Amino acid sequence: MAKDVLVVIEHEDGAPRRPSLEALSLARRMAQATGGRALAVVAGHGTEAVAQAVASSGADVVHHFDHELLAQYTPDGYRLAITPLIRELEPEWVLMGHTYLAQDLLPLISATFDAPVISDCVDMEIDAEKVVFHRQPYDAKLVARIFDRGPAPHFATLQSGAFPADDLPQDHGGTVDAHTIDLSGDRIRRRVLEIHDAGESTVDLSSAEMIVAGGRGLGSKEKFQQLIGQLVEALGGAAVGASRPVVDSEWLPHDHQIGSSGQIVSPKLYIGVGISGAIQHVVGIRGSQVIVAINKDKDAPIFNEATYGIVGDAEELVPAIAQAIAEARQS
Amino acid sequence: MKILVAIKQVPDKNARLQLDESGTRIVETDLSWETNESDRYAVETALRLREAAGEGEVVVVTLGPERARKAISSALAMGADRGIHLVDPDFQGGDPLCVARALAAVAQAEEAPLVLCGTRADDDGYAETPILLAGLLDRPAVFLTMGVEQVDGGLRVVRELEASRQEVSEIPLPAVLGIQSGIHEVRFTSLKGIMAAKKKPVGQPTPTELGLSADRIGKAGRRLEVLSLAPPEKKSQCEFIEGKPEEIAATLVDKLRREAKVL
Ligand SMILES: Cc1cc2nc3c(=O)[nH]c(=O)nc-3n(C[C@H](O)[C@H](O)[C@H](O)COP(=O)(O)OP(=O)(O)OC[C@H]3O[C@@H](n4cnc5c(N)ncnc54)[C@H](O)[C@@H]3O)c2cc1C
Ligand SMILES: Nc1ncnc2c1ncn2[C@@H]1O[C@H](COP(=O)(O)O)[C@@H](O)[C@H]1O
Repeated sequence: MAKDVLVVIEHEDGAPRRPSLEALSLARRMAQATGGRALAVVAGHGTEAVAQAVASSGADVVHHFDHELLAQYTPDGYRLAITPLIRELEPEWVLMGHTYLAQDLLPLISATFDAPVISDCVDMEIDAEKVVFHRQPYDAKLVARIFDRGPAPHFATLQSGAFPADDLPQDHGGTVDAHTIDLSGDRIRRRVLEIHDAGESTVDLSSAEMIVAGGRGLGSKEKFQQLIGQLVEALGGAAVGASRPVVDSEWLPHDHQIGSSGQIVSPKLYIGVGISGAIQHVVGIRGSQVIVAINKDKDAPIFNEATYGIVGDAEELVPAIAQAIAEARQS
Repeated sequence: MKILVAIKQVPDKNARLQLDESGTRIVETDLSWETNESDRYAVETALRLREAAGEGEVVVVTLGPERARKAISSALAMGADRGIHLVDPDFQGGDPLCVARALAAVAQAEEAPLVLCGTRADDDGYAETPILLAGLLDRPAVFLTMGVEQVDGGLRVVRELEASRQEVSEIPLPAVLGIQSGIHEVRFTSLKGIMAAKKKPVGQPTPTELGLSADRIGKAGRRLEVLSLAPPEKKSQCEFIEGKPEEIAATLVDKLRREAKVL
């Protein structure tokens, strides 16, 4: 049997989202290696254009479910469309980007196939016998090569940015297969009341030229204020950023958080102190021109992103660095 | 309402990880351990729901070896009423689906209408156990929960979305929630709490008692095989600056001025 790869497409404002296109790109690679097809499923309402776009971008067949109860994402709505489709198509693999929606949805579907999800993958090896995915346990301090020894379908989600989508065609002649689906409101157990911004944001880090950010490694609210304050003052003013645990512990208000659930920044200079460099933080700082990382652990993942790395204790290093910066600015 | 909270013991964030000879596992001796971050928020959330309702029972469950007993003790000291420790060797070494099967059996045996989990175990980092569990139990679930209250007919839940947005929804009970770090401030443990915890019961059901066959759980039941575990290849361009603090500071300032031209 051919080894088809099915991508569950997320969409926004009438277009497929980037993580889904990245998954489609990998699906094409995997299908090519095994002689299968790259398939996709779009669930929504009035989403014909999304389905067409996915067919043009490289899916051989796009299965489209259009229903008014699919206009708003709910796990039950999507599950009731996608689970029977997987039974019918019998794909070898089901892929998604490792997004919030995927984490809310895909294990619900995989569980009905008695399968776990190989989640948040950053790389893949494929040969005639098997597909092996790479993931990064222990906050990216290690890389694990994972093989799913169970029967198909297998499920995997892909870390954002790990599989570039640059190689997708623009005029692939994939077909769109419109499905009808019988849905009633009482089968959808999540009743969405509203979607809103998480809170008033009074701090705009996105346009800051210089950002000094601190992490849990600073140890306490007092140390955070003291050490980050010294750098800000030495620079003659810089915006203050933080990792998530810092705002979770209320050392700083929430709107200082940088990362996937905070702000995306692109300063000329970002200095990160006592921040490990988890992917959810790092996606927020990749647009920085120069990244300086100060961390006592030489293996901290933040050093993979940094322009300049300094290994050591923030308490010893920061006062010296602040002083040197202040002196340099005065001369 | 009875609330079951699934907590996992994971290596301390600052632990130095070493690999064993097989190259597929970390060495567990001499590590320090803690309760997974988001799971502490899950325990806190359960306690607040119990307090808001003025009644109910909070039962914590962990799957792990003998050492994991300490995660239960900490939750009992925070105020949970009772513990369940899946310590039998047959439970150990499974993948997230094996863990979800064991937790599902406990949820059924306990007839707990609400199961709370964290979002992600910071060791393996799969971030899928709560939703697998919901799938196995055929219950509604919400992942990355940033707020929850009991309302007529179920729960009102706030779900974190990307780009600092949130979804507010209602789901019926029984349900499963994955609690996100930061939902509420986690309480400190009092000495009184620690003393009280010593008297609280901790059960150790076997797979058989939970109606689970050994080939569905633990090492024997797992689908996901770790072929190798290794430090990542360093592909970074990072230039490390070394020396005494003053030397480092001087070199850094020089580079920021001359090379990076940002000062
Ligand atoms: C769905 C989801 C969304 C998330 N969104 C975000 C987000 O938007 N932003 C975000 O930041 N995180 C986010 N996270 C959390 C993220 O996964 C990490 O847990 C977090 O970024 C870690 O923060 P940290 O580096 O400050 O803390 P830790 O991981 O605890 O790291 C502390 C670091 O400090 C170092 N250190 C300790 N002491 C010292 C010292 N004296 N001197 C110097 N260095 C020291 C340590 O070596 C360590 O590397 C999210 C997680 C999830 C699951
Ligand atoms: N061994 C375990 N024992 C109890 N709960 C667990 C265990 N593993 C995972 N969980 C729960 O599932 C959540 C997500 O874990 P994971 O899917 O492994 O990232 C954790 O935050 C826990 O609440």
